[in-house]
Amino acid sequence: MTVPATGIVHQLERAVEVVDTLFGYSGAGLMFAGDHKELRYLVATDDAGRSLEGAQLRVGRGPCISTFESDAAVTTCDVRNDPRWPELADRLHPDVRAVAGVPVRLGGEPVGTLNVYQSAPYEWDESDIQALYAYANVIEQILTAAIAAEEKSALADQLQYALDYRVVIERAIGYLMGKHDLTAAQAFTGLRKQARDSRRKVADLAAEVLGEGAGELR
Amino acid sequence: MTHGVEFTHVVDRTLNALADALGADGAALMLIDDHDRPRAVGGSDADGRWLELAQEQAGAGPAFESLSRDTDIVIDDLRAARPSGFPGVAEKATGVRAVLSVPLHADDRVIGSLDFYDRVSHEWQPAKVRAGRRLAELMVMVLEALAHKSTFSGQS
Repeated sequence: MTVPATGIVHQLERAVEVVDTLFGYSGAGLMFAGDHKELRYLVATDDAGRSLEGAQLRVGRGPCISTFESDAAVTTCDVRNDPRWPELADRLHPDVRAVAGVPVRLGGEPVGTLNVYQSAPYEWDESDIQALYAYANVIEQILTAAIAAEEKSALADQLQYALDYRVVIERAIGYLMGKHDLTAAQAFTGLRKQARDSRRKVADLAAEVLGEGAGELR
Repeated sequence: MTHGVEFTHVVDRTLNALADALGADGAALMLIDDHDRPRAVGGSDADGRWLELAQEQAGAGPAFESLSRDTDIVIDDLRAARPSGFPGVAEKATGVRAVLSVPLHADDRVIGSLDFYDRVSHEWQPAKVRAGRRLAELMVMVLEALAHKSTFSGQS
């Protein structure tokens, strides 16, 4: 089986890392719509960010999903106490408090969301939202440039591949956490570093880690 | 490289977005061509394009300094006398006063310079210079994607 290259995902990971570090947000993430327009997370800078996006996927509601559905910025100063999504609080990492999301568009249509969070309640102001829209616009240009350089279908394959293989990566993270007594963030960072050092895809390495784990259990 | 029109549109839209992200009035791009000459490539508006063209014609300016020294160049007022400013460039780029030039790196070499600018003179704060440096990484990502470099279709 030929696995599509996931270069675009690597680029988007780097872009989200820049967003995360630039203005001191606690974390950032990127969600994209899959084949059936369901929103799934593609990039998250840390464990807390993954919990934000994972929790929304489980309950089917939340600020990032609302951002995508309304094609507009959605903010909450404390998602754990927001009456719009009472079922989220128990599923979130304790560090996720204030959340803001803006749509990522392509050709004028929303294709995903750029999300940031703060670990303490925070009133987002207009300048925060303007900056987020600017970053989402940069991400749109990265996607546009990628489309200009590649067949659109190949790009879609790359994104779909990444969305699908997140499950494998999550399972590998869980396995490494248990085996080496790591936090999820440490496990993910280690996995990604090893993949980069060996010039391999994170998903391929994750699958191999899970294969080795299964071998140990036999 | 992809079609020129598409390239120009994507570059200009990216420059607009990067200027917005930094909170600057505009952004402009200078890239080193195949003959190692700095060339004006684009700007978020006419002032930005003039800034780059004026530098290219003068063979001097903050972008040139940034490229040759491979470091950030902060100019509080382009109209100030040398070495604080570049009055020759300012004569042509009349709408630009404060300039921050950041070198762009790809494959461990300098490929160009990203200029942020404001229409009023002011001192550039260190936090803004650091932010400009990180935003330059986003510009390189877009350029890599446009150039369809091997890094773009490489590993995740």
